[in-house]
Amino acid sequence: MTNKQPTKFTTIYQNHYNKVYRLCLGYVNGDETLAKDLAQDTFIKVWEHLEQFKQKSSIGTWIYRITVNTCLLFIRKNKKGSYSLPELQEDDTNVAEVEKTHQNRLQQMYACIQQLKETERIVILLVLEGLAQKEIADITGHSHQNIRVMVHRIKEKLTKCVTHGI
Amino acid sequence: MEFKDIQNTWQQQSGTLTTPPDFKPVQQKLQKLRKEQRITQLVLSITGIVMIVFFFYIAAYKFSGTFLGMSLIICVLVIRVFIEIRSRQKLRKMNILLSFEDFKAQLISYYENRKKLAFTTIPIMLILYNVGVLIMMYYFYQYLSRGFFYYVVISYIVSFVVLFYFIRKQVLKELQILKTLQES
Repeated sequence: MTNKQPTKFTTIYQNHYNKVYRLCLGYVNGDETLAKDLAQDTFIKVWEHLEQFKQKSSIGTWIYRITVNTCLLFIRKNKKGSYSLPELQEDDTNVAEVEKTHQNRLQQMYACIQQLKETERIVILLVLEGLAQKEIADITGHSHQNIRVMVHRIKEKLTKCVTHGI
Repeated sequence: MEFKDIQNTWQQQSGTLTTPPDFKPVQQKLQKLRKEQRITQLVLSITGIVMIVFFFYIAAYKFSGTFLGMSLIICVLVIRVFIEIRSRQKLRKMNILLSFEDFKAQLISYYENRKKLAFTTIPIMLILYNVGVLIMMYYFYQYLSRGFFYYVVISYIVSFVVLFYFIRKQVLKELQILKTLQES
């Protein structure tokens, strides 16, 4: 276990927490408590293995690798998270209406992501985060070509699901 | 709607940009936990050695039916606990730095081993355990009062049914995990 690089770890933690948290949030159907637990598990592993980081890839890619594997390990807990709609302020009706539509779409997105198989879910979450296909290939261990086909198929599936419902 | 819109909605989620919680307490708790685990392992090992030494000290030259029955029951329990500890260690020591597909393959292999255990080793152990109990029941029947003997039999049957229910539940859960992993 590393104890020698506290500053380096703190910087990494501060810089990558939100990305990791959002990916975990997508994996557990928008359940904030479960996502926080998963993000914490991820950073415990990052902390324990930081000395093994070889700089063959960027630190971001390396952290995403640990994140997706930690998410997969979550399967053994057999818990299904549930998305809770945030409370809206009633002072501005128009803003509230727009926000409500946005939240409903998000809820639908989370539900659609949950319908996907494990690998598909991980791949699409990385796509939604805006990662390049080459980086996704590196994280998942698929070939670039394979990822390209896979991403195209999952994108279609997700768009159809969000637009027309489950 | 296009995928681009979905991606924008995703990236504009409010509430996902939070201040990271303080990690220091987690680090301290983890270090304390690791220390406690090492102490627990040490205590368990010493207890095990003392028990084995004591077992041979009192029973080595007094082979009997009760000795056989008790040995079977204790051995099955010890082996069962050992298998579970080893299994948990294997899960904890999985290489988290592998690519997602390699990690998944590693996890599938782990659950396939668990499946083998559940359908081969565990049933054999349950049979051996019951043989041990039956041997002990023979002696209980001879030396205990009827009322107390029936109490022992009934409580054993009830506890065995409960135990079997939990083992079955756990096995079914792990089979479901394996199926999900293999299908993804």
